[in-house]
Amino acid sequence: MSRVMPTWPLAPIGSVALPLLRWLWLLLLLCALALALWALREPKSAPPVRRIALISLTPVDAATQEGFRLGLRELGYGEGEQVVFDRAEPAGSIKRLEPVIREKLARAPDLLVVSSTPATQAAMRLTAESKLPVIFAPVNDPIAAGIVASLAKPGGNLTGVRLAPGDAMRLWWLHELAPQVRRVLVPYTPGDRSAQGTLEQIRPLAGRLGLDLVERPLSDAGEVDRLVQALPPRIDAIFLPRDSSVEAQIARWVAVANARRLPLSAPAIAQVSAGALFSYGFQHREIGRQAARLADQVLRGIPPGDLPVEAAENILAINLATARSIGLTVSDAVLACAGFIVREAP
Amino acid sequence: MSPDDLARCRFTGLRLRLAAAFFSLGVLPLLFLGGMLLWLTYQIQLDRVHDHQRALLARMRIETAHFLDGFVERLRRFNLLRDFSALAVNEQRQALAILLAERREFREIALIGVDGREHVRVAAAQPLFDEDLRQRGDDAGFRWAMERLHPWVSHTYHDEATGEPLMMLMIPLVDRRSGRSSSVLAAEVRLRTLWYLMARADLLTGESVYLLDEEGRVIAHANPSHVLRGDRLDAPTSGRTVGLDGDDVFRQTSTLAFAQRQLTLVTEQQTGIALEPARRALVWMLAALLVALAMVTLLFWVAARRIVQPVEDIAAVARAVRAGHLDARAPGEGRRDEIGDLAASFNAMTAELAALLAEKQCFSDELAARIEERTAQLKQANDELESFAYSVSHDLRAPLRAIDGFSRIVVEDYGDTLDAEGQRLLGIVRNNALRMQQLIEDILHFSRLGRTAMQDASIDMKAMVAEVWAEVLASVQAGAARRKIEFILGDLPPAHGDRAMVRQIWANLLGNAAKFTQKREQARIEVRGRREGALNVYEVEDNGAGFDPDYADKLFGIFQRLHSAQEYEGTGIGLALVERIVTRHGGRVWARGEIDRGACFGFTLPADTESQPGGDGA
Repeated sequence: MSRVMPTWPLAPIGSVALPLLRWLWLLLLLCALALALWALREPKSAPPVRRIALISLTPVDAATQEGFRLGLRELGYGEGEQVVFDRAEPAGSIKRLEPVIREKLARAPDLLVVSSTPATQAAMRLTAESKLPVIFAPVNDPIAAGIVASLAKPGGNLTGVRLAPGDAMRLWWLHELAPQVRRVLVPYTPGDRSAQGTLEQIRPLAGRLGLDLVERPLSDAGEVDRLVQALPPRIDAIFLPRDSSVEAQIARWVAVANARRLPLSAPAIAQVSAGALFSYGFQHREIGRQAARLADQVLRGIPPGDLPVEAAENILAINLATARSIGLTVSDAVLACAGFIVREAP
Repeated sequence: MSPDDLARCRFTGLRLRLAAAFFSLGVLPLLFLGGMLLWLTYQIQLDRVHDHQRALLARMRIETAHFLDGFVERLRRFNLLRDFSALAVNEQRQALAILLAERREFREIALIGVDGREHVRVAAAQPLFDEDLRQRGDDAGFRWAMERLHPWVSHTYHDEATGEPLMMLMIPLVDRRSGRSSSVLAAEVRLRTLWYLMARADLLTGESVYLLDEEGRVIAHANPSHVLRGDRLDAPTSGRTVGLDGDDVFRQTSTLAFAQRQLTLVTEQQTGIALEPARRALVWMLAALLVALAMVTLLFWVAARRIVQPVEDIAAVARAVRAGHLDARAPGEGRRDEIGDLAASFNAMTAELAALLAEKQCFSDELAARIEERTAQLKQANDELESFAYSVSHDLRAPLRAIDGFSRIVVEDYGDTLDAEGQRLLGIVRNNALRMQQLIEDILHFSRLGRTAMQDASIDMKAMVAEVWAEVLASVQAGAARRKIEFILGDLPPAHGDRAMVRQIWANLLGNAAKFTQKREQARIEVRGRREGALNVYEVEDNGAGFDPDYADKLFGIFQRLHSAQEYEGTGIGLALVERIVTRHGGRVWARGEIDRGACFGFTLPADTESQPGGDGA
C-alpha cells in the first residue's frame, strides 16, 4: 500500500518550512566546523625572514656594515635565511640621506641600521611616525645630537652605539709608547666641536704626564701646508684630535711625521693603517658587531627604547712598520695591550 | 496540551526522548573523553614546561657560574708563574693593563698590599697616576680576602653614568711558602656581558631567564631595561605566578653561589604560550564535538524520519479517526517492521471499526424509522380514541339530558301518582343521571385539555395561589358550617406556562386540600415553592385525611379514588387533570402521605427564565 497523505491538517511533514530549517542547521554546523579547522591550521613554524636596511653617509662605514653582518652571522642569523640586507651605496652627502632612507623605507624593512650622526638624525625624522626600530652605529654623542634623551633608557624607537671618549687614554698611551716625548703638537680646527672635546680631555692630563701641548689652530687647508712645512721647534710628537678637517689630511700628517721621525697619534684605526703610529679608538667593524648584538635583541622583540645606548669599545692600534721607520721600539707589554697591529708597511 | 499541540510541537514525547538518547550516547562520552584528554594534555604540558625550565636553569647555572668564575680564575692566574706581589710596580701595571685590554668586563683593577694600600691601579677608561692610589685597608672585602684567603664578592652596584650593574671582586694572592695572603687583587667587573648570556640562551617563545642578586635586584636580563630600571623580585616563588613583565607565568628558580654571594637564576614561561597545545587540544575537542554533533543530528534526523515520523503519522491518523475521519489510513503499511505491522493492524482495525459503525448506523436508522412509524400509529390510535371519547361523551349528553329531563317531568307531573318507593327510585335515576352527566363533563374537560393549545405566559404564582385560595375558601365557607383553616402561603417562584391551566392545577390541589381537611378541627394547609435548577418545585401540604401510600401511584389515574364519594364528594378527575397539565408543561407530579396524617402534593414547572433566582420561595 502506498503512503496516503491525509487530507486534514497534520504536522507539516512534507512541507517546505522545516527542511529549510534543517538545512540551515546543517549549514551552521558546517560553518562551525570550517571555523574550527581554520582555528586549527598549523601556524607557520619558520619565523619570517627579517629585512634590515643599512644606510651610511660615507664609505668609511662599509666596515661597520660588514661587522654588523658578521655579528649577526655569529649570532645565528643566516643571510637570506633569517635576514636579508637591503644595502645601498653611501649617500655621499647629507642632502641625499633623506631620499635614500625614504627609498629603503618604501620596501618595508623590519629594522633600520644607520651610520653617522646626520644619517641617524634623518632616520629619526623619517621614522617618527612609523616607530620603525632604528639602530645607529655609531653616533659620536647621541645626547648632544638630540637623538636620545638618556643613554641608559633611550625611549623612542632608536638605540645604538655611541663613541666613547678615549683621547685622554690615547695621550696616556702616547706617553707609554714614547716616554721621552715632551712637546706634543696638536693641530685643530677652531669651531670644530669634536676637536674641542679632544682638547678638553687631554689638557688636564698633559701636565700630569709631563707633556707640553702645542696647540695650533688651523683655519684652512693653506694653514696645514704652512704648519707642515714649518713645524714648531722641538716637537716630539703629533697628536691629531677628532677633527674631520685635520683627519682628512692624514696622508700629509703621516708624511711629515715619518720625515721628522715623530710619533703620530690619530683618532681612528683606519689612520693607523694609513701610516699613523697608533690610535686608541673605535674599530668600525667592532661597532658593527656591537650593533648586531643590539639588533639581535630588537629582533627578539625588545623595544629599542629599552636598550641602553652602548659605548663603542676603544682599542689600541699600533703600526709596527711606522714604529720601525721612526726608530721607536714598542715594548712587549704595550704590544700585549694592542687590539690591532699593522706589521708591514702597505 | 492537546494532541494537536503535541503534533505541532516537534520535540516532545518520543522525538524528545529519542533526541536525548542520541545526544547522550553520541556526545556525552565524547565530552567525557575530551575532558580527560584536556586534563591529560594540560598535565603533560605542565610537566614539559617544568622539565624544560629545569634543564634551562641547569644550563644557565653552568654558563653563569662559568662566566663568573672566569673572572676569579683570570685574576688568580697572576700568581701562577711567580709571586705577583713581588714584581716591580711597573710590571704589575703592565700585566693589569694587558688584562684590561683583553677582558673588557674589567673596568678597573687594583693590587692592594698587606698594608691595605693600593700598590697599583689601572682603569680601562682613564689614565691613573700614583696620586690616585687609595688606602683600602678598611674595606670589608679586603679584610675578608686577607683573613679567609677566599675570594670576596661585593653586592652589585650601578654605574652612575650608564646604569650598568657592577661588582667588586677581591681575590687574595696567596704566597705558597707562607700560605698567607701576600696581596689582594681588587677588580671592578661589568656584569653587562651577562645580559648577552641571558639573551643568547636558547629560549622558547614567551620564555625569559634572568639573574637576581642577593637583594632581589635584576642584574641580568635579555631586556636590559629591567636591569637599568632596577626591577626587583623579593623572594621569588616557583610555580604559577605573575611574572616580571606582569604576565601570568610558570616560574622556576635556582640559586647560584658566587663566592659568598647567593645569586638567583629565574626562568619564566608565559602560561598562555606554554599551554598552547592544551588550547589546541581544546579546539580539536570542540571540533570533534561539532563533528559528532553533526553526525548525531544526521542520525537523529534519519531515525526521526524512519521511526518517530511514522509513529507521529499514525498518531495523527488515529486522532483523525477519533474525530470521525474513518476513511483515514496510516502510512507505512508496506514496511517490513514493527511500524509496518502497527500501520497494517491499525488500518485493519479502522476498517473494521468503520464497517461496524456503518452496520450500527444502518440498524439504528431502521430502528428510528420503525419507532417513528409506531409512534405515528399510536398517535393516530390515541387521537381516534380521544375523538371517540369526546364524541361518545358529547353524544351521550343528549340522551342523558333526556333521561334527566323526563325523570324530572315524571316527578313533577306524575309525582302524585307515584308512591314513595317509585319516587325514591326516580330520585336515584335522576341522581345517577346527574352523576353521569358530571362524569361526562369531566371526561370532556379532560379530553379538551389534551387538545387545546397552550398560551405561554409568565405567571406570578404567589398572586395566583392567593386568588385561587380566596375562591376555594369562599366556596368552602358557603357550604357547611364555618370552618377554621390555617393557610400558609410561602414565597413561590414565578413560573411560565398556560395561565388558565396552571390556575386549574392550583384550584384542584387547593380544593382537594380543603376537601380532605374538612374533618379536621384545626385544618392546616401550606403552600410552598422553591427553585431547583431549571425547574420550579411547588408543594401543597395539608393535615387532612391523607392516603395509603401503597396506592400513591393510583392517585393520578382518571376517576381513581381512594375515598368513597359519600365520604368526600368528587369524581376523581382532579388529580388526573393536574398530572396532565403538569406533563404538558414538561413537569412531573408526585404525592406522599399517610392515612389520617395528611398529604403533600407537589409538581414542577419549568422555571421562568426571565425571573431572578432571588425570587425563590422558602
